[in-house]
Amino acid sequence: MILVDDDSGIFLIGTGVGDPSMMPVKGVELAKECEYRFLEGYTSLLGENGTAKLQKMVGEFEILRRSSIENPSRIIEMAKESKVAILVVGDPLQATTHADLILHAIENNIPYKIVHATSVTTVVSGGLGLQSYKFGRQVTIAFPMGDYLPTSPIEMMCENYENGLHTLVLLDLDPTGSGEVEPTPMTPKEAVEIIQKSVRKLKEDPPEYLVEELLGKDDLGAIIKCIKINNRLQTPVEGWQAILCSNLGTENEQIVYGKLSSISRMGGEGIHCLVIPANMHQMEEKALYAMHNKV
Amino acid sequence: MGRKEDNIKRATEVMHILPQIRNLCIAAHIDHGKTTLSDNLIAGAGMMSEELAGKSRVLDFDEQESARGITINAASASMVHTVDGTDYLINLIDTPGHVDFGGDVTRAMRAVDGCFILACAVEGPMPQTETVVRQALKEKVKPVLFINKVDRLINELQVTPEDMMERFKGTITKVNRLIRQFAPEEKKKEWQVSVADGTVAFGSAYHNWGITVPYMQKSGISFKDIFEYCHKEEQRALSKKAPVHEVLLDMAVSKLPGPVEAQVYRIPNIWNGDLEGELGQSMINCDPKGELAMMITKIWMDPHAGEVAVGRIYSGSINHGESVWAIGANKAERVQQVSMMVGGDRIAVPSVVAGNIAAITGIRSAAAGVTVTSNPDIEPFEAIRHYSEPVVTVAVEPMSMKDLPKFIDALRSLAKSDASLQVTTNQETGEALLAGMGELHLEITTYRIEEEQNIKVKVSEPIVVYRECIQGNNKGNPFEGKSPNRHNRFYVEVEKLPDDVVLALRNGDIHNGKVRPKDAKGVGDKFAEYGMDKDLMRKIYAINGTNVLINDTKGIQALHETRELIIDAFDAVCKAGPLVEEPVSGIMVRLVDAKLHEDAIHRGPAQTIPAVRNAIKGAMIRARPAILEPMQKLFVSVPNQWLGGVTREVTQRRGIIEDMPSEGEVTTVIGTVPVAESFGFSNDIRAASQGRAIWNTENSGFVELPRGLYENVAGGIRSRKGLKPEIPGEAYYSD
Ligand SMILES: Nc1nc2c(ncn2[C@@H]2O[C@H](COP(=O)(O)OP(=O)(O)OP(=O)(O)O)[C@@H](O)[C@H]2O)c(=O)[nH]1
Ligand SMILES: [Mg+2]
Repeated sequence: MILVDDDSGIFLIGTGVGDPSMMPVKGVELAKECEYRFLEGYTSLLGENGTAKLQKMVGEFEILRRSSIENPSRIIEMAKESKVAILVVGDPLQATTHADLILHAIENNIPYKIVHATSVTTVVSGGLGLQSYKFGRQVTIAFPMGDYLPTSPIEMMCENYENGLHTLVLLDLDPTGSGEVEPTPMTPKEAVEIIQKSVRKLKEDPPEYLVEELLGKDDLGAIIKCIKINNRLQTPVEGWQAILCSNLGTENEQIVYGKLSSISRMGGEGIHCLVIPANMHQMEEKALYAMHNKV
Repeated sequence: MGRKEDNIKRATEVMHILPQIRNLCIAAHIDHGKTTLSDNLIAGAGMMSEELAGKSRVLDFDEQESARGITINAASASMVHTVDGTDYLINLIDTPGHVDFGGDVTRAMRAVDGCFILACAVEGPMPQTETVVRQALKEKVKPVLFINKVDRLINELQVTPEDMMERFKGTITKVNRLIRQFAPEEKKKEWQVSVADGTVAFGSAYHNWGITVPYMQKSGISFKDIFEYCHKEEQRALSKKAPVHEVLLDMAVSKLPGPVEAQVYRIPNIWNGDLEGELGQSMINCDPKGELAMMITKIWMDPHAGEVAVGRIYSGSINHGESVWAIGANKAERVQQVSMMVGGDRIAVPSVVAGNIAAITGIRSAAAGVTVTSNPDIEPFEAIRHYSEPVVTVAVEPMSMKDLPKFIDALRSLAKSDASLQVTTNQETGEALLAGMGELHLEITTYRIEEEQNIKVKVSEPIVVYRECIQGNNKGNPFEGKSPNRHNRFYVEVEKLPDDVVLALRNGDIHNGKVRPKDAKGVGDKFAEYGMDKDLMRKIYAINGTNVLINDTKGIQALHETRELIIDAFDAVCKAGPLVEEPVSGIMVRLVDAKLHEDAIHRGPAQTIPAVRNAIKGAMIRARPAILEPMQKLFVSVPNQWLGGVTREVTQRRGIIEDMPSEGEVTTVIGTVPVAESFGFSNDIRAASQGRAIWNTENSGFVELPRGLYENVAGGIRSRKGLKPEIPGEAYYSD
């Protein structure tokens, strides 16, 4: 890592999950020192009044949408002469594509520094009483667009489940898909509806690799995967157990567990994510039930 | 009760007796006499005065049609014809012959079960004759042949009876060859036309007579008699002995199938639902008591009633006041009026039943090709495929901004009623781009906005629509397109499709659109018939115009779920290529590799579409792009005296003369001219021949623009479209 010298470079700083008060002291100090500050405003969202609170802590900043981060020529130009803070909600390189920003910096010989912070991926496992060892690959449920409705998140949820692994399910923030507007997080109701729709699509029009007869007899890996996913899909999706985490890291944090059908009836305010637990270890079960309410 | 009123009454009664219905259309090359014949059939059936028939062209009830003497719309009319004391209801559709309006023919074919193919005795089968025969057979519509203008053969060309027979034989052979080539397998034999069978008729639509072998037997008239009547200028008497409507409607009744007979084999051809199911059975049996299934084949604007939708009812009945769905609409709509068409009149009736053609109003969501039903969940009819490639564009805008809402509305209905017309609007400036099949097509369209909708408009000079293609390929050297977040990469190679494949796509022999995974094998095999690699083509994703998209990757996780997005990007490039943003033509796009982000959220539309778009455009640049210009085939018949002037006009326009057959004093100049040079040809040719030349054109595909014109044309288009003057290079698409 190239260390930032005194007078220029990019500071990629995490603000932690939820309320700005979760931000590490180191990040606050560095951000204050920067001449230019930006908040990345399309992959995540601060809690209620978060923007005002954060500005009080680090000073004024401008909100950047997708195109200005993905085509960062303006930021790069600034960072050649000055110190530029890019504030990212959560941990800046978790579940984002900002590694690309670092690559742009390196291509342009610009020094950079990363300040890590809490991420939903870690907060969730501990906060629920689940063990981080037992999480499979995480997925995101995207808003469908026309005929575009990804089913791979469902497939991954099924595979994880059958492998005895929990799935962290992040929810899309942008129904327009553009990354250019103020985020409007998906509600639990919308999420469950999209999951149901994707499952229906998988069942009615399964991709070739989910039809066992179409697979090569000796392609064991594919056959096992196929069997596992189809096996999990036997359980109607409404009956899947899930944990709903709302407004993590804020005053309004709420965590409940129950069937997806009950989760879909939960209020929609704020930002949410889901966990689909697989078979839980006794300790996990105890901790989850003791710490949180069933719906 | 007048004869017409009496006819209407009988028509509404016969409508319910299915074996006594015939739905048919008349189709032919331009000017071979379709409208003249339709009028005579209507007049013969007592729907207009016999004096006027053939001279007034009732079915050309559009003012423009009367003025230009050609048919623009497919108009329909019902009439009653009596054979041996039994009334038959004939629902007849006249169609246009000018190539610019070919879409109307395709749609008319969907509504009917049988068809009169007209061929002019003098000209014989022409290119459009072949096209309409193909259009009919593709819809499993049974053809019979009428050789028209026989009077001209006898009186003008003065042929001998032997000569005449030879010419007839020639025409019949050619038509039968087409039938053998394009008819569905099981009908190839059965549908051959022959004089002896009575599936071929001869006559003169203009002079109101016609003859078939069965009618000769019935009436005792012989070929020799016909020759004599014509020679002695006694065609009027002949028309009393063998009136064309008697002869042809007899032929329709005895040789063309009724709906009950035809729906058995036509339904599986046009409907993909479960044939054993309730609706399937109801359609196959043409059951008037079943669920309503009507296919709209035409929309036109009535100055009083607004949008009128005409279509064929395949099952159930459509009733006044009932709520129905146009499939795809988000709500049911009420049928305000149900009617039958009689010439220019619509006659309101309480209901029309399966097996018939009806006109309805009140269904705003209906468009040509849409299924109307009482149950929105049923499988709709197969889309009506008429693949048209617009070659000319005009910009149109209302003179007064206060007409803007009305103008946009008018465009909306035009686009709905004419699938060959492409309309793009700029809602703010009110400017609309109309892209169509030729100068005439667009002239008529703007005329309609002005006269029928009463909106004064400004129309730009016509502009040619070019095509983008490639000279070479980039095989083995794929072009990488990156997503904006650079986490997704797509690798594309492009190459030209063989000419006969392009032709098949252009003719609609292979259907356009997305290919569903379960259909890919069949579509791939279809391409294999044209000599393409079967295994490769089975990986097809989509067909857009004359371009195909193939997923030639292997084992890439989650690629399938970006399928729709990859197709969207392909469609976007097909619409606007890398050089001058004109449509792309005749290329095969192969996706050969891809690298995707792990999470679906980071490979969504905003990432994948631009990445694939850039990959295809970059690949085209790497494969050396080319601009193609549309060409027009010309047929000009001119008395020899003015031949020089005509050939000069053709060659001055970068035209190539291919053939100049002459017959007596008249020579036909056959050649090709770039559409870009064809504007105003009509006036110039008139001047050069003192109005003696008779001519028509047809679009004949695209050829590469001469190198010398390339810079100029590309620069002109880019500046007109407000693009940067320099054409983007590979680098532009690689980051
Ligand atoms: N001598 C002669 N002329 C005919 C006959 N039938 C039609 N015509 C003439 O041919 C010309 C074209 O006739 P239409 O009936 O308008 O032809 P059409 O096929 O409907 O033409 P489009 O709809 O424009 O394709 C007219 O001038 C007719 O009078 C015929 O049997 N004999
Ligand atoms: Mg006509």
